[in-house]
Amino acid sequence: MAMDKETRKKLLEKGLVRYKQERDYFKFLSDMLALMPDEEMQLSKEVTDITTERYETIIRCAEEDKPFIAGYFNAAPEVYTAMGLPWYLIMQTPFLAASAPYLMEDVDAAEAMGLGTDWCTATRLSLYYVEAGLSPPPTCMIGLLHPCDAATMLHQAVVRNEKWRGIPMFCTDPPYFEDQRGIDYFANELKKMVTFLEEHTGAKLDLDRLREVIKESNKQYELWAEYSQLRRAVPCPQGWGMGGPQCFAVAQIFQVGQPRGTAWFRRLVDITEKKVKEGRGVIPNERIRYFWFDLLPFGWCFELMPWLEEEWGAVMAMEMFGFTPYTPVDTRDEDTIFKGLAKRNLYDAPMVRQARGIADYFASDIARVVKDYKIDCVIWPGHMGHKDGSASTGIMREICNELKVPYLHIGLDLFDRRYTTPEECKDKLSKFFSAMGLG
Amino acid sequence: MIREFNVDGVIAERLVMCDNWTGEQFMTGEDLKEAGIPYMRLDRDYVNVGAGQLRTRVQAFLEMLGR
Repeated sequence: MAMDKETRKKLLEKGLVRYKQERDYFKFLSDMLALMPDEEMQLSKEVTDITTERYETIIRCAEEDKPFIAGYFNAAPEVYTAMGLPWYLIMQTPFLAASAPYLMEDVDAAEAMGLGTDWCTATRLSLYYVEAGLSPPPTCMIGLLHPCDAATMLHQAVVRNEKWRGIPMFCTDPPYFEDQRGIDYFANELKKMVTFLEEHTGAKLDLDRLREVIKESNKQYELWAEYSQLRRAVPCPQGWGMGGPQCFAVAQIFQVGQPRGTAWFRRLVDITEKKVKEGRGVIPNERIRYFWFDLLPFGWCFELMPWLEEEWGAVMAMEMFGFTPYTPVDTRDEDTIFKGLAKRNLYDAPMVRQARGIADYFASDIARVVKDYKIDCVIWPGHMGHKDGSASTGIMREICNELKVPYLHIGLDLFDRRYTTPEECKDKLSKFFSAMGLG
Repeated sequence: MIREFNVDGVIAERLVMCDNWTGEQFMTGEDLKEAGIPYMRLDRDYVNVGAGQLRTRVQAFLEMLGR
């Protein structure tokens, strides 16, 4: 049953309170970055600016009763751009507000609500925000049936929520295997998603506009690949603070297929190319190059990463979200477009690529990155929610043994620093580096 | 089933680390809360450990039901 206007209005008012706090937080970050003249800081500022603007857009849509949706970076966001549909991620708050002062209180509140503490904290928090009315209810939403069980259950639970059950939801059905049949099947799922969005938002998809958006996104991915190649340089031109997280945010969330995003990538490549030519690394004395193979380092990791650089001369040369080989989408006709999008979103998108189906990518990505980026050690942080990855830790260790590169499985919660404290992580890392003769 | 079998309370068992049943437990719990039916979430391991703790928890639940 559709939600009545009065209920929706009340839900929106409450749902926007936290959303506005987050917007203000990013605005504050932008203002701080504006004081730093360094060109890399200015690139980061551009990302916080576009993040703030996305928040503004969603707030405006909610207040003016215009359509906006909840979607995912791995559910063809190119389509949302082409249809002119503002969107946000249901899982946005746990990630973007990972450093926010209220995060620990929210984790405890989610636990008090009865959500198992072994459930991925990102998922747990996302459900808590919906249950507590702290997420703005969208016009309709795209849910996920992959990459993990927790994501699937999250969307089932959202549909069960008394207030949200009136919000139409569509979940694309992901095939398990990676073959042409799987691509064809998922392309059809994406077409069904378009029909759903047209029906519930009133927006229409124009194929020429979609082609234009995809051509632009192809340029972004090409520049992203060029940038990633520059990170192969020794010393590495950038560390944990620059690169993957921003590239991912720009190409897959905030500037999908938009010229401003492409311009941002050009600046990133130019700045990095200059540093590589000058032989300038992110730190003066690079001693260890590590591959961080898990979720992006957010929240409390902001204190772990600088410590790795300062204490051990350890530089994050590559990470899971930065290394995702993108295949350009063939824009010849509708068929090639949707099949290309299917492949990009199902087999190329970070985390979904590794965690959704067969475990081969855990091994092949490590092998590729270790060789291409001159990696000295592989760190699997082992976020507690990533059971798929932790189940593949034996495979990861085996491939690292074959490559003769040390491998460390930490076991932590990227959102809750109490799970494995920063001090415990530092201790594990120090012992690992010492035992392996690194640094 | 609760009505047909005159059930006094529901125990939802879950293997720790199981995401599917975490979600199910939560949703069932919310539904039963709305229906006013006593409900207990019981986490257990795959192997036979912690029988004492499980017994204590179930006992407490049954006492709460007045049994």
